[in-house]
Amino acid sequence: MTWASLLELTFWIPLLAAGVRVATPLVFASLGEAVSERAGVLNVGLEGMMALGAIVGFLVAYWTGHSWAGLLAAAMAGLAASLVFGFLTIFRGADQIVTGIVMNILLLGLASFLYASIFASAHVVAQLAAIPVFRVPWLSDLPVIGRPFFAQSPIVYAVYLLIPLFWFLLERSPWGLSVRAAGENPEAVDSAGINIWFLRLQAAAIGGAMAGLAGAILAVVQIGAYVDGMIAGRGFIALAIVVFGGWRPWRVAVAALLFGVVDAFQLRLQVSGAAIPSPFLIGLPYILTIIVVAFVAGRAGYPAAINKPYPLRHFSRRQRKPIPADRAAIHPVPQEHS
Amino acid sequence: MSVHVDSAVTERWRPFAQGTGLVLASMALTGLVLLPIGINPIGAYAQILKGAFGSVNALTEDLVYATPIILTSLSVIIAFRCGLWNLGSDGQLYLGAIATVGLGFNRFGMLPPVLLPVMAVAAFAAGAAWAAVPAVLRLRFGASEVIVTIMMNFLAVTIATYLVGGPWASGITPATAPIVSAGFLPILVPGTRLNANFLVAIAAAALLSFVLRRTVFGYQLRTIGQNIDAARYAGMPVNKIRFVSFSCAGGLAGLAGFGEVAGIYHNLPNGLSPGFGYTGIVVALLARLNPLWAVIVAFALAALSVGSGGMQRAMGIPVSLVSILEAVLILLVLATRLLERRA
Repeated sequence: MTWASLLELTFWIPLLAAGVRVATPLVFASLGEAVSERAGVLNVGLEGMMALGAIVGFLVAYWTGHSWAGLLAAAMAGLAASLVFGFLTIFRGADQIVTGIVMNILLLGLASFLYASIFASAHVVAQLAAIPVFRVPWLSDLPVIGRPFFAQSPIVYAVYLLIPLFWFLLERSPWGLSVRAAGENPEAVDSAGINIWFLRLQAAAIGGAMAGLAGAILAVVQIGAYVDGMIAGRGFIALAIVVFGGWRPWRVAVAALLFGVVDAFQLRLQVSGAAIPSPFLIGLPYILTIIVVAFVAGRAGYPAAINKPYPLRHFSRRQRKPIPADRAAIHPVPQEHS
Repeated sequence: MSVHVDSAVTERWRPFAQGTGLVLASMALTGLVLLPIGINPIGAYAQILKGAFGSVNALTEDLVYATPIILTSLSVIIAFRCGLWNLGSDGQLYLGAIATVGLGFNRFGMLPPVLLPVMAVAAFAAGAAWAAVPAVLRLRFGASEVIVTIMMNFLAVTIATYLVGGPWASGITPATAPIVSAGFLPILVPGTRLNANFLVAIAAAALLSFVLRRTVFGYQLRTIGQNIDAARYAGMPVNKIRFVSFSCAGGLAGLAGFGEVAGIYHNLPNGLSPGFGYTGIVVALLARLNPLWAVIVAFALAALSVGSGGMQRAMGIPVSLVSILEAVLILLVLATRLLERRA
């Protein structure tokens, strides 16, 4: 590969195609996490939930022979894990970062345990059949963008539907308004008579289901196998993407695509045998993540109520009656944790 | 009067009773994953006990395994005590190991008595430098140290793998060439792998405990962790103390890497750390951020890991059962809100 080839479309079109492919699981995980964080639930356990989705999706797809069944099961598994996470952080007031880290240890261990105990005797790596590429008629023939965006695995097209769906859900629907308020001013949501704990649990569950799907896309659709450590930090990269995308679905998707293209770029350079030592190439997505977290978005942007459990003492029938807005403003509900 | 004494006694023993109950409950819950694969959990736990305490060699292996875990847990503790998350002790451990191996080849021709101390200091410095990056990014730019330290872990492993496979390759094993024998740490019990770094870890725990309790620095550090606004208002150099403590956190993890190389492997193998950094987090949380308790908890978890190796050999159960058990235990602590740290 020469540097001159960087100027040609024959370099950029396959790169973009690979970038879209690599970005797909990242988009799934970060869209869900954006909803969760908007509600005030920071899910550091994303990495583990992706690993759980990967193993459950792989196992179900392997046993049933249907990739879609695997994806569905993975979403359910991610959802179940996020309910545990949500119970602890929303209803028991546990610190979100502590809980998330421990969830990672639990779920990465569980994924590894399941794979090792089920395939212990088999000496061959279990493989799934690849899902064939579906070329969208007419659109895939468009110049430049046709091949990268419309000659992909069908799961990529789901992304094109999910981005506007999440945008509408989060930024145009009444539910989204409550979610965003839950992350910025939970007292206001509570005084409006909305069950803030259940609302946050819903948002966390969407995040968990999407993380499970993301892991399964990686294992079932893209690689066709499960390997320990295959998530390789993508859960944390997704956390950075959410920050980079400013918690807005469209921007989050674009940010994920940027990460996908960078990852695809380093993979191509490695394959082409460029004279750059491999750690700098393999490490490129990690370095990019650090740069994004450090210089693009500081802490200021996070929803104000992130990692602030809403005290449960109002969670009783007796106090369902909303507090008048003016009184709530004068006597803010004291936080249990700070 | 007697009633008063009684309640004081129950009060003192309550954490132990609660702790035992939680451990038993988490063992029962974790046992649930063994039932579908047709294994009796009690048999598996018995194998773990046998593997961990069944012989003198097993006991020293527990201490060998506890050594890096003590150091990484101290690393997590010192950072957490001033309100920062160090999830990067795995990467800092790798940097310490890399520095140790690099100097251990002794290309500069250092005299034997000088070599070991220089290696230890370099390992501390390398870990501290690796930790200084997330510290600066957090304190200057507000970057989440949770994400940055995790990314630094991946980078550290990438660099180590590159060195093992490339510039420092031995050509035979998936490890670097060995260091010179003057760089070997002395063995404490002949015929075992128990080396002097264990004493370093114990000393570090005692020192950290002393610093936290009895020095101005420790007082300021704890104040920052409990109420950063109060610390600022009192005129404490908040950023400076947080930077120093986070760098020291990296240094302690670097020492763990030093011990693994100089005390055990005498080279840098691929996959040096089986997640010592993450076990360190578990230890720090279970020890409620107390350095002396961390030594005891680290020993218990090390015994669990060593024992699970025996269980894997005897029954074919994957060792990842142990991380499930550890995580379930902490989740139960979080769910029941027992054993919570009272600030």
